[in-house]
Amino acid sequence: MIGVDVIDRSCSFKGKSKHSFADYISKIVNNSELDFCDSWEDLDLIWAIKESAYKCYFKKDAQSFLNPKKIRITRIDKQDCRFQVEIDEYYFTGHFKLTKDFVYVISSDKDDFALNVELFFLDDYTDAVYIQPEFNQQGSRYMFHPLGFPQAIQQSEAIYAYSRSHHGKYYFSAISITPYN
Amino acid sequence: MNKTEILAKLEPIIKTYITQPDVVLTITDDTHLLRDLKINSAHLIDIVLDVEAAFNISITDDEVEKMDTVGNSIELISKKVEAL
Repeated sequence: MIGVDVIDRSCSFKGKSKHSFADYISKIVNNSELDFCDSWEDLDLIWAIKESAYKCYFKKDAQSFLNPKKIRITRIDKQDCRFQVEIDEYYFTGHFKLTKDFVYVISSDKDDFALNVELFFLDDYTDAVYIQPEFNQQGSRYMFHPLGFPQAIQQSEAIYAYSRSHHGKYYFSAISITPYN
Repeated sequence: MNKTEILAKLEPIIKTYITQPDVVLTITDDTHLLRDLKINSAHLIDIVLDVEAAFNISITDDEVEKMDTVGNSIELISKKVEAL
C-alpha cells in the first residue's frame, strides 16, 4: 500500500487566521511529536505525513477514523526527508519534499519498490502544468492524464499501488512501476 | 438546548467549509462530512475548533472521530452541552 498527500501552502493552516497555531497543535499533534513542530511549516509537514499514512492504513484496515492523534509520528529526518509513522501497531515509512510553495509526502508499508511520482501545478481544473518527475528510478514515464489513472495501468490486469492527492493548485500522484504485492 | 437549536448553530459552521461546487447542500442526520459534503479533512479540525467555540464545550481527541456525520455531531454536542 502507498498513500500520498500534497498541500498547497498558500492555502494551508497558516492561511487561516481564524484559529491559532496552538489551537491546531492541540488537535493534531501528540505530545511525543512536539519536538517536530516548531512552526507553521512543520505543522503542514506533520499534517501531510498523517494524511498520507492514514491513506495507507485505510487501505489495510477498512475501519475509518478521523482522529489525527491516533496517527503517531515516531521519526522525522529533515536531512534525508524521511519519516516513520505508527497507527494501531501498523508501521509506515516514507519520504517528503517540503518547499515554501508545497509539501508532498509518500507513505508506504514497504521500502523495496520503485515509484513513479509526479507533481502538477493546476492553472485551473482542466489545464495542468507538469512540474517534475521524481523517484522515477527506471527512467520510464507513464502517460498520465492529470486527474486520472495512467493509460498503462488501465490496460493492465496486474495490481499496482496507486495514490493521488489534490489540494489548492497542486495535484500529486504516485504509482508503483512494477506490480505491488 | 434541543436538536433543532444545535443544528441551527452547527449547519452554518459546516457550510463554511464546503468548497466543492457539486455538493448537495441538503443536510440530514445521515450526512457524512467527508463523503457527502466532501469537506477537506483539514477542515474537520476547523469544524471541531469552531464547534468548541460556538457551544463553549471541549471535545476530546477520542470524541473527534465521533463527529463523522451531522447526526453524530449533534448527539455529541448535545451531551456536552447538557453536562455544562
